[in-house]
Amino acid sequence: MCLKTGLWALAVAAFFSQLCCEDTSTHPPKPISRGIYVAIGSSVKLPCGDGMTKGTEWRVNGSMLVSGPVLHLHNTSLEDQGIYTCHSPNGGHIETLHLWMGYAPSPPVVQCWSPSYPLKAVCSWTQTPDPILPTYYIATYWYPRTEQPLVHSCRRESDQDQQCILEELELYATVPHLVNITAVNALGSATRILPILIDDIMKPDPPVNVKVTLQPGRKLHVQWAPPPSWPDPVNFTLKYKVQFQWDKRKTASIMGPYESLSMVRSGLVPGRTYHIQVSAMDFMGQGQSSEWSDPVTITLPTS
Amino acid sequence: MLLLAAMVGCVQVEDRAVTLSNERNSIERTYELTKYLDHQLKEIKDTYLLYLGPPFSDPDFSPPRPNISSLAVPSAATRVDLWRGLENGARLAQNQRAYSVLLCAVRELARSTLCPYLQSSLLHFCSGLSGLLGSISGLMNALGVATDGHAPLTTPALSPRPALNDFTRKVEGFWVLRELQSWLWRSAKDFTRLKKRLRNTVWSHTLHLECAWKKRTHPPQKKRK
Repeated sequence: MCLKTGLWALAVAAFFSQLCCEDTSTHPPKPISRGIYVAIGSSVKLPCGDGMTKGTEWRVNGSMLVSGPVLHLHNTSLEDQGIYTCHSPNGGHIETLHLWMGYAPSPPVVQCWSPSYPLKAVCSWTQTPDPILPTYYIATYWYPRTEQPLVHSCRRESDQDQQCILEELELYATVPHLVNITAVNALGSATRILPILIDDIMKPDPPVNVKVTLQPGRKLHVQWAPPPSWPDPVNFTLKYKVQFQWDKRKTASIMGPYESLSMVRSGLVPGRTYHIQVSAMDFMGQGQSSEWSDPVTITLPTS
Repeated sequence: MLLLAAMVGCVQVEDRAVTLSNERNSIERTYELTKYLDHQLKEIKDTYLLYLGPPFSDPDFSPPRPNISSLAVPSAATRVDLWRGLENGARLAQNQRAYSVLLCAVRELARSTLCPYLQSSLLHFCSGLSGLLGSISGLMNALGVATDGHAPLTTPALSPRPALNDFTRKVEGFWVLRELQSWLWRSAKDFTRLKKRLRNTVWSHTLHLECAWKKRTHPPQKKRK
């Protein structure tokens, strides 16, 4: 009985001695691994462990960088990005540090337009400078009604997309919609709030199916169709301009506006090559004209 | 006798088609007037903002809209589904109410403007607005829609203004022109929609006339067993 108890006590003591009284020289602690994000242009101090052990050294890509427990990096640049390791005087690996360089977000530069008036508007944004670090965006908008204003989420495919679609629109409003784009990354966040009047930001896509046919008497018949993204060309009429270019596109004349979907131009020069493009705009001149459609080229016969 | 009845019926249906066609012409004229006023407003607004001076003349300046009874213009703002669903009479009535208030407001703006050129432009614009209001009321009568009658000509929408250097008065003036702009944009679309709806009504009446005429002059033959 006494022997059994004694053996049991020894086993427990041995177990606990394994736990708390380990000899570190034969079983070194696992190296710490961490990542930090640093703003380009800033200075940073990186301590190894407690930052006080003498004889430690910092290495980068295996090469010795600095001897001492603290690594100072001044006026950092993108080239400072990398994997840094800290080693004990006997070469033991104490710590691995992933250093990521980048910029905190700046307030996004936001542009909005409506290619599908009155149903949708699109907002897209850029960041200057590019943050480099992974950055995600929160995009919302609201219309400040006198009753409770609803905050809508501006629809996107993913959090990293830099473009979103607004769908609950208030038309003919004197008070603007407010679009809020917030950029977030490991170094901080920044917000832009852009007021927009939906009727002011109309910009159709270019007209489609532009066809040019030669008619007797040196005339060209040009026809086109409204952009399919414009949802209601019956109630929200578009007007069109037609551009004729020649002489290697150095000379141009613009005709219109037309509310119809075709026009005829006469008095053209035989043997000349014309490049024809069409653009669309809201019939009241609100917003912006579309970009020009892809050119259609036709050469008039010489006879 | 049958032929006479058919002819009377045809004339009645034709009368209705002619009336609707006249209404479409009136709407077309009202629409053209709206576009003309929108064009005029663009020029007046730029001059007026320069007259108000900074910060009103700054490109992106937009003061908060004052929540005061003196600027009680019905808002042109609407959602597209509500706008589409408006019945013809209600659509015209909304326009009439808005321009009644706006006419008074612009008259007051003209009265208190110290620059003679600007005052003259604003008064000329008021004539156009008055014409638009008359046109809208005429259309409502033609369509059998109850009107509110003409707006009181002497009651100003803005309270008496002591001096134009009062910032609040300038904000009011800014917002009158902004509301006017929104309404002209909205009205152009309203009249386009009315035109198209009435065109469809004329078309369906014309088809009805043809069908009625054919049935009376060429009744369907009974099939022999």
